[in-house]
Amino acid sequence: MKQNGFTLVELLVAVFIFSVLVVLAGGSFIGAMAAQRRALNIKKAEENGKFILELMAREIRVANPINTGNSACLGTTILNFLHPVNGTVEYFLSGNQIHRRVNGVDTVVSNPDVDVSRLNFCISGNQSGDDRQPLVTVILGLNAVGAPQNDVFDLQTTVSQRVLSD
Amino acid sequence: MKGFTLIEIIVALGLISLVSVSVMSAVSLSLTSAAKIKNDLIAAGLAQEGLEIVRNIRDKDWHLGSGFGASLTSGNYLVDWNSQSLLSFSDTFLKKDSNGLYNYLSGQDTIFKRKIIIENSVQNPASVEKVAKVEISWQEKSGSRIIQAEVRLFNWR
Repeated sequence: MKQNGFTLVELLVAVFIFSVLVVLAGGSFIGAMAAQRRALNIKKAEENGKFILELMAREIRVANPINTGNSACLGTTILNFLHPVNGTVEYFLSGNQIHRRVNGVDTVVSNPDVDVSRLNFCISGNQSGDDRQPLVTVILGLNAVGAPQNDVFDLQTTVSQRVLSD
Repeated sequence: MKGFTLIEIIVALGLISLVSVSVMSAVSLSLTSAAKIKNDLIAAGLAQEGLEIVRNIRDKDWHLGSGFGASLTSGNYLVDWNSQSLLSFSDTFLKKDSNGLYNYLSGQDTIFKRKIIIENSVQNPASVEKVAKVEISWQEKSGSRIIQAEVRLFNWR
């Protein structure tokens, strides 16, 4: 009687081929997951950076006066100014989060999912009699928590005060 | 004997590879567009900076008692983050120093170039209106990219 079934060799070959395929498929799946997470992290940092920079730029534009004096670029991590509607506004970095203090009330404006590694203000033209409009450069570095070093966003923008004041 | 024919196997393999290739390309597309928006955002900040510096230079003319547009002659220029006047144009990359400051003096070259264009307006004489444009251009794997913005500055304070 002829027995139906697989020989040991056939079985081994089949298992081997199957495991190679599984390793390949699993590896590319894991790679795809990692890429997807990285894209999500970049998106998070981007959305936060955009929001923070826009929030600051809009307020600094109409600020009068800017209370923080002239400072070289590494000088100050705090910016304090009087906003015509919101009152005294202060931005500063504390524990990887950006705080916005309005009339003494403190709120965190950056997302806890995002680490802010750098917030610097370079202020020039903020002396009376210097014949210049106050100019504030905001330097912002941020990345999603756990993102690699080369996914850090280094953003910068400069805002010139609108109200003419020497 | 029952089993798969060669045609059936080829069709099955074709379907599987089609699905997996499309999934992979979707994932890689989302990653490349994430990198793209990163550069877009940095460029937008730098573009805004360029226009604000030009405005600051116009305002300085007023403080000095010079006329409107005294420092805004039409042409191509560069401006640094702390420029008090327009710098002559050269086709150079912005640098970024170790403090994250984008500038022309120190640090490593970034991928970004910034060009400021000052023009006269079509509608108004130069004593009334000046048009300031900024172009940020950079190279990506997929090709060269550029963003442009413009602001119209008036003799009005």
